[in-house]
Amino acid sequence: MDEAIAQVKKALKDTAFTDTQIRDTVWNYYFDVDQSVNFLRDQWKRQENKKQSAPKKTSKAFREGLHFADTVTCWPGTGHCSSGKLRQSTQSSPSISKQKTPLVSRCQYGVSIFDGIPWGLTASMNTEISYCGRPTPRMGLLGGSSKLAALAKSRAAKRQQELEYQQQAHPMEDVQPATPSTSSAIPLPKSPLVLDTAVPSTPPASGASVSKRLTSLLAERSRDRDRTTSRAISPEKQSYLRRTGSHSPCTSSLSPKSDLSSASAVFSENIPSSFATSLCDSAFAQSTLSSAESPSSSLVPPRKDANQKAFDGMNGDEIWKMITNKPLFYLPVTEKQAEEIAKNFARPSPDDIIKDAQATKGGTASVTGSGPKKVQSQKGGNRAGLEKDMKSLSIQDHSVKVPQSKQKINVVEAFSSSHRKVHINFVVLGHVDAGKSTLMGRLLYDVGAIDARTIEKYKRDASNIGKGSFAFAWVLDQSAEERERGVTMDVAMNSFESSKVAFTILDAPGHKDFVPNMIAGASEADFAVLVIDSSLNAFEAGFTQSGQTKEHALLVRSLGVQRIIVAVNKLDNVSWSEFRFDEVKETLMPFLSAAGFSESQTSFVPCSGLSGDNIVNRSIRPELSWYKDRTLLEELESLTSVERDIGAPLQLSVTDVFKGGSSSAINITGRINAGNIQVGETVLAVPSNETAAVKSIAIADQPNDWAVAGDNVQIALSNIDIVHLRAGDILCATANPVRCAKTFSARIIAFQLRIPLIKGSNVLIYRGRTTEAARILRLVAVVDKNTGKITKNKPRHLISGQTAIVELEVIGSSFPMETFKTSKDLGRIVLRQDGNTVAAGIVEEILSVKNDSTSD
Amino acid sequence: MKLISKQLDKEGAGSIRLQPEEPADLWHAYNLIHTGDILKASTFRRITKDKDKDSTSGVTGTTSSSGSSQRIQLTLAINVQKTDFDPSAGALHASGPVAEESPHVRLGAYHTLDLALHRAFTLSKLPNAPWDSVALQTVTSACDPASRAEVGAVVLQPGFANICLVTEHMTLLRQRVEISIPRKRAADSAAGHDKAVTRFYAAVAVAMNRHFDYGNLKAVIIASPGFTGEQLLQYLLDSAAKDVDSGSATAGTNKMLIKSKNKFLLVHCASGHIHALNEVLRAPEVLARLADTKFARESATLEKFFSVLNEGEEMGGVKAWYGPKQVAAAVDRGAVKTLLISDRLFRSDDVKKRKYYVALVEQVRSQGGEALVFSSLHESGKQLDQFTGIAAILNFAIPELDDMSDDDERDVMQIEEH
Repeated sequence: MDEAIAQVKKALKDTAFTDTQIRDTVWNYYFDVDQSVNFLRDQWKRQENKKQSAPKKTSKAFREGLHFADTVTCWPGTGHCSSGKLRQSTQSSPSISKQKTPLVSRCQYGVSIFDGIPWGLTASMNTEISYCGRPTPRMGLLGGSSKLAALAKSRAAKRQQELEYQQQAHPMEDVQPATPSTSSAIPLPKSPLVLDTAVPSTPPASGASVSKRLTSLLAERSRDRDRTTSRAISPEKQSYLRRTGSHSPCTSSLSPKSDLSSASAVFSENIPSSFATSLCDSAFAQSTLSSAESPSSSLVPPRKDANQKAFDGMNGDEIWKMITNKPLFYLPVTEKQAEEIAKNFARPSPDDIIKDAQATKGGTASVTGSGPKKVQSQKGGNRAGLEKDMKSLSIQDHSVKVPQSKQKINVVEAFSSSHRKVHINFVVLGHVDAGKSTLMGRLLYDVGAIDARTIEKYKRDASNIGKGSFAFAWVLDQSAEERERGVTMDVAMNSFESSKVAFTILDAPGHKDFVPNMIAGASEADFAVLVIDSSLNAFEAGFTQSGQTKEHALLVRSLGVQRIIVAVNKLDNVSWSEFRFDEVKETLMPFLSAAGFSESQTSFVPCSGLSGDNIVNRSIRPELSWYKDRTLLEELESLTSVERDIGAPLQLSVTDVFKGGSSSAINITGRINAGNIQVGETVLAVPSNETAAVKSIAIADQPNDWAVAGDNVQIALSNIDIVHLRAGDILCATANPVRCAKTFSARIIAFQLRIPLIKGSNVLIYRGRTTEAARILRLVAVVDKNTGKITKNKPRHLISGQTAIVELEVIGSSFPMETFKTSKDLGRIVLRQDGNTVAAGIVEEILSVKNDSTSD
Repeated sequence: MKLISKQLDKEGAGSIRLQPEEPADLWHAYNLIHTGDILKASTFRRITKDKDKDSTSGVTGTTSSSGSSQRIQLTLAINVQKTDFDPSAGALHASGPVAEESPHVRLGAYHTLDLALHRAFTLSKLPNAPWDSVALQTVTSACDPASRAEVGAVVLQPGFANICLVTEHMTLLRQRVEISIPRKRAADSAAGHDKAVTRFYAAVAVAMNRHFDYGNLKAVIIASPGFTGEQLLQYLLDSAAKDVDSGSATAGTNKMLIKSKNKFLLVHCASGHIHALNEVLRAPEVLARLADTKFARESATLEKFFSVLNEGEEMGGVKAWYGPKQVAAAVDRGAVKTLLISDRLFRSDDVKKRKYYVALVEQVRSQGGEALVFSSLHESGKQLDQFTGIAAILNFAIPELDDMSDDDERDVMQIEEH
C-alpha cells in the first residue's frame, strides 16, 4: 500500500492532496496506481474549477452511509469507534447548522462519524473487514434489477400517498420549497415532517432557521443518546432489523420511508436522540443522493414528484454552490478543524463516482469523465445493469427491499455492490500448429501466473522428448497425450488477472478433428483471439478452405463473438517483416469483414509466442520498431465486458461433470448464460429433469456464495445422481425449465458445402458441449441474406452460402434449447456433417418437445 | 439363403422354396414377401381338441370349456397380410388367414408364421403380383455365397461408441456405449479423466468381444475422430494379450482377436454417431478392402450423387435429381445414368406401386443405365429414404425438372408413407 501511495504521490506532484486523501483513493482503487492518479487528477481539476469541495463531502458522507449498511452486522466492533465520532458530530453539527443549511450539517455529521479514528486507513480497514466477513444477508444497497426497481417504485408510490396525506396534515411543509437547499437535502416526506414535529413552534417562514434549530436540537440529543439505539436507527439498520424481525420500538416504527406518522410519534416520544440520529443518517445520505440525482430525478419517478418543486430549475451544482458558499467562519470549531473537515470531504471516494455516474445519466451535473468507467471496472462489468442500479440507488429502496428470507441472497444486489474486476473470457483460435497454446503459455508466464521454475521444468521435459519448443504450450496442454503428440485436443481453461482485468483463457484445439471441442470453448467466450502462423506457406495452408483459420473465424462469429484480436504469430520466422504482417492483414481482413467482424472490432498484433515479443511486454527489437500499437495484453485489457441479464431466470451450460476428490459431491463446471445462482438454491438439470441443490460455488477457484451470468463456475451439487448429469446439460431455475426440443425450425447460413443440404440430410447439432444427431426434416425456404425476404419456397437443396429456414428433427435424445429470441446463448446452433461445419444458425421456433422428458 | 426349388411360369407366377441360413437372409425374405403372397412354412400352433370335431377354430389361447389344448407342429400356408421384421433380433413374422386346408386348422383362421433360420419356407406369388425382376434379383443375390461379407464396425468418439455389424444388406447396431468422461483439468483431478477413458475403452472392448466373432468377420473397422480409435485398438490388443496370458474365461475370444489382428482397419471419421458409418464405408481404406461389397458401393454411389448435386449449379444445370416425379420424368427422357432406389419402395403394400417401381428399374436398365437398389437397413439407404427413397444421377441436365411444382412433394409423401 505504501508503495502505491508513494507512486501516486509521485504522479501527483503538482497537486496538493494529503496523504490520507491519497491513501483513501488508493484503497478505493484496490491499489491501482493509474486509476487513483487519474481520479485524483480529475478531482483536482474539479477543485480548481469550483474552488469547492462540497460535492465530495456529500459523497463521502454517503459512502459512510454505505459503510453503515455494510457494517451493520459486525457493528459491535466498529460501533465503538463510531460512537466516539458521533460525539464529535454533536460538536460540529450545531455550528454548521448556522450555515442555515441542514444539508451541510448532515454531511458534516456523516463524515465526523469517523473522525475519531485514523481516517484513511482504519476506517477503511473497519469497513473492509466488516465487508468481507459479513455472514448475514447482504443489504444490497445498490440493488437494481427490474424486479427490485418495481418494488422500489411501488414503495415510492406508497410514500407519495403518505406525503400527500402529510401535506394535508401539515400545511407548514409548503414552506419547504422556499429553501431549496433544505428541501433538496430532504427529498423525502419524512424530513419535512420531522421539521414540523420536532420544532412545532418554529415559525414556518424561515425554513433555514427551522433546520438550524432542528439540527442543533438533534445534536444535543444525540450527545447523550444510547449507542445501541443509535445504531439501530440508521436506516439501513432499521431495515436489517425489520428484516430479522427484531422489535426494538424505535426501529420498527422509525422506518423513515413509509411510516411517517409513526416516525413523528416516536420523535415526540422518548427516544429523540435516536430519531435524531436516524434523521441525520438518512438525511445526509438522502441529501447526497438527491443532490446527485437531482438532475436525473426522473429516474426515480415518485421521488421526482417529491423533489420537483424544490429542485425547480436547479441542478446539483447550483445547489452545492448555494450550500457551500455559506461562509464557514460561522463554525464554532476552529479554522483548522474546519479545514480538516473540508479536507475530509475533499477526498475522493467511490461515491463521487457513483454520483458522477448518476449525473452522467442525468446529463446535467458536473461529470468527471472517467467516473462511470471506473465504476464499471470496479463493479466487474455490466454497464447497463450498473446504471440501472444507480437509478434505484437510494436508501429507501434499500430498506424497502426485505422480501426475501434471511438465507436468500439477492444476487443482483450483491453483484452490483461487490467490487469485482472486469471479467473477460476469450477463446484462442487458429489453425493447427499456429502456436495458440504456446502463445497463451507465454502470456501466462509473462504476467506471472506461471513461475519460472515450472517453465524450466517443462522446458527440460519437453526437450527430453524432442519437443523443446513446446514448453510454453505445456502450460495449457496438461494431459500426457497432448504433450506427447504436441497437439491440443481439448479446451484448456486458465485464469489470470492483470492489474485491471480478470481473464479466463479458453485455449481451443486447432486440429480439424477437435472442432467440436473448439465449439465448446468458443461458446463459453465473449471474445476471440485468432492466432495466425505467419511463416511462409503456413498462413496460406491455414487459410485454405480445409484449413481451420476460416472455419474457426466463421464459427466463433456465428457463436456470437463480435470482437476479435488477430495475433500474427511466429513473426520471428519471417524476420519480423512488416511486409509479411501487412500481407497477412490484407488477406485476412476482407474475409473477416465478410464473416461479420467489422474493422473497428478487429485488431492485429504482430507477435511471437516463442520469443515473447509484443505479448505482455512491448518488443524492443529494432526489427519490430515499425509496430507502435498495443501489445496483445493491452489489446485484451482494452476489451469491455459484455452485458448480460443477471436478473433473468438461471440458465447454466454444463461443460463438465466429475466426482469431487474425497467428498461424494458431484462437481460440475459450466458457464452461466443468464441469471444468477447461489449456494443453497435448488436447480433443475435438463434434460434429465432432476433437481439438485447447490452446495458450493467457485469462480476461478475462489469460493463464492453466488455467481452471475457470464461467470465460468465450478459448482458442487448434492441430492442428484451423477447419471442424471452430462456435459452439455443445462441447469436452470426450477420455475423456468429450459425446453427439450424434438423438432424445431432454425434460420441457418450454409457454409462452404462439400455436398448440398437436402431434406433428410443427417447433421450433428452442436451447441457448447451439447451434441446430438439430427436430420433436416424440411427445407422451408431460402431467404435473402440481407433483407430476410423469402426468395424461394421449399427449395430442393441448399448450396454454399445460402441462408434458409429449415426444420430439424433431433434423433436420439432430446436437445435442451431455447429460441434465439429468449436466449441468445441457448438459441445458437452449429450444424456439422462428416467433420465439416455445414451451417450455423439460430433457433426460430421450437415445434415439438420431447415427450418423455425423463431420459436417463 | 439356400434355393431349394423354383417353379415359375412364364408370367413369373409360381413358388420358390428357400432356406434362410443367416440373419441377413431373413431381411431378404422380408423384402420378398409381400402382402397377397402365399407363404407356407412349418410352424407351431395350439390346438384345442373338441369332442365333436377333429379340428377347431383354435385361436391361440381360446378358453374352451371341454377338451384338451395341445401345441403341435404343423405346416401351414397363409395368405400374407402383414409382415414384421426386427433386424436387431433377427426375427421375421408374417401373419394372415390360413389359405390351405389343414387337418387341424380351418381355412381362414388367422395365423402368424415365424420364419426361423435353417427352416425352409415356400413363397408363392399369384399371377396378379408375380415374381418381378427385382425380386428375382434379390433371390439371386441372397443365394450368392460370395456376398456373405460381414464386417464389424466400431465408430467412436471419446465417451461414445456404436458397435455395429455390417452385412451385405444390413447394418445392425449391436451396442451403444456411452460413458461420461470428465474433461482434463490441471494436475489434481487429471486422474479422473484418465480413469474414465480407461473405463470407456474397457466397456467398448467388452462389447466388441461379445458381439464380434473375429474368426468369421471379414474385417473389423475402428473409426473415430482424433486418436481415439488408435487408442482403443491399442487397448484391445494389450488387454487381450494380458487376458490370454492369465487364461481367463474369455481367453478364447481374445486369442482369436490376436489372431485376427490384421483384420483391424483404422479409419478416420468425424464423429462417433452411427451415421458416420456412411463416411467410414466410403473411406479409401475400406473401399480398398471391401470394394466388392454392396454397402461400400451404396455409400460411394450416394456420395457421388451428392457431389453431382452440389456441383450442379456451376456445371450449367443440375445433373442429379430426387423425388419420384422428377426421376420418372428423367427416365422418360432416357437421361438416367444411375438410379438410386431404396428397397423400401418395393415393399409397398400397393401392388401397383410395386409394379411401377419395378418397371422404372427395368426401364433404366434397358436404357443402359445402372439401377442400384439400396438396402434401407444401411446408413446410406436410410439417408436415401429421407429424401423420398428415389434419386438419379443423370447423363445430361434437364432444366424442366426444376419447374416441377413442389406440390408434388405432398403426393409423393402420400405415396411414400402410408
